[in-house]
Amino acid sequence: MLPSENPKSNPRIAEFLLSKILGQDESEVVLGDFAEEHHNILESKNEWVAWFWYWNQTLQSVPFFVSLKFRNFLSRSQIMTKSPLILPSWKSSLAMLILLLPALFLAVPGVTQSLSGSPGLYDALRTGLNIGDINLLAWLIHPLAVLGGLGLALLLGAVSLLSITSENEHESFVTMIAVRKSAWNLVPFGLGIVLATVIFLYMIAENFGPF
Amino acid sequence: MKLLSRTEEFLLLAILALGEDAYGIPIRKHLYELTGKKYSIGAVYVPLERLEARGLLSSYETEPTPERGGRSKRCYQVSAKGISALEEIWQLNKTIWKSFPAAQTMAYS
Repeated sequence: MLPSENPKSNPRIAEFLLSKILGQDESEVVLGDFAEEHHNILESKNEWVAWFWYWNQTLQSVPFFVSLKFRNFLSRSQIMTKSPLILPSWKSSLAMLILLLPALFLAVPGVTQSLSGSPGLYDALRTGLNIGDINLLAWLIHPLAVLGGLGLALLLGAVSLLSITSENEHESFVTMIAVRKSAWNLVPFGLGIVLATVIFLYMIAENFGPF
Repeated sequence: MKLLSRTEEFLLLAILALGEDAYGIPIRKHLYELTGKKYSIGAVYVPLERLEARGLLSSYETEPTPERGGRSKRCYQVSAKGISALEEIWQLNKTIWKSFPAAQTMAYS
């Protein structure tokens, strides 16, 4: 409200803004200070100066009050994430296994070929997954499918297995990370880590190794 | 004990100086007289809340008054813990200044 409309009252919008940010208990005292100083300026200067002072103080003070409310909120509350975040354990493990399929199709024939010296399994899969002119194995072991699936599976596994709790204690955060003892999630997560390690070592050996 | 910040130190000193009249508006004015810096009302209340949460200040609310639009004041008092914190910062300042005699001479000349 402009001062010419109601010269003696505090700017209503600014007052409303402050009261919403501060809440009922705090706004009683703080708005009292605003009103007292506004009243003093009205007495000694004019309504425009008082109006300008009120808005200027409001805009300068809002960031402080917001930070105060935020800190009070943090000190009262606990930020907690509970596992499983996305899916129940059996569903997340099934999703992880599906995401790990491309990596399995790449790593298992590769390892058997390295151990036995013959590309038997790889050839069998290539023949078996040939539909007309389309070679499904080539699509399945595309780097994007392998690395993307592996990354998503590990992320899903981490989210399903880890429980992160952060609590505010004596003005500092205490964060705890707990691992769920769930075989449904641990097995595919472990498989994902093994596959990632095999593929990573294979990439190193292929590109930089002396073999 | 965690050391006081400069603003917190000024606030405690202002509250001590104001005695029973230590609430938002006079505290802000006293800070301006002490430092020459214009603090917004929000910039005064945030450290006041912090000091109260740390037990260095206590507060009480008065009866509502008409010039405040029927609202009450929150008056502050420095607690014994607040006095100890001020003494600690005073001792620290003295120690720091003692180790720089040249700067001390310059500051007081």
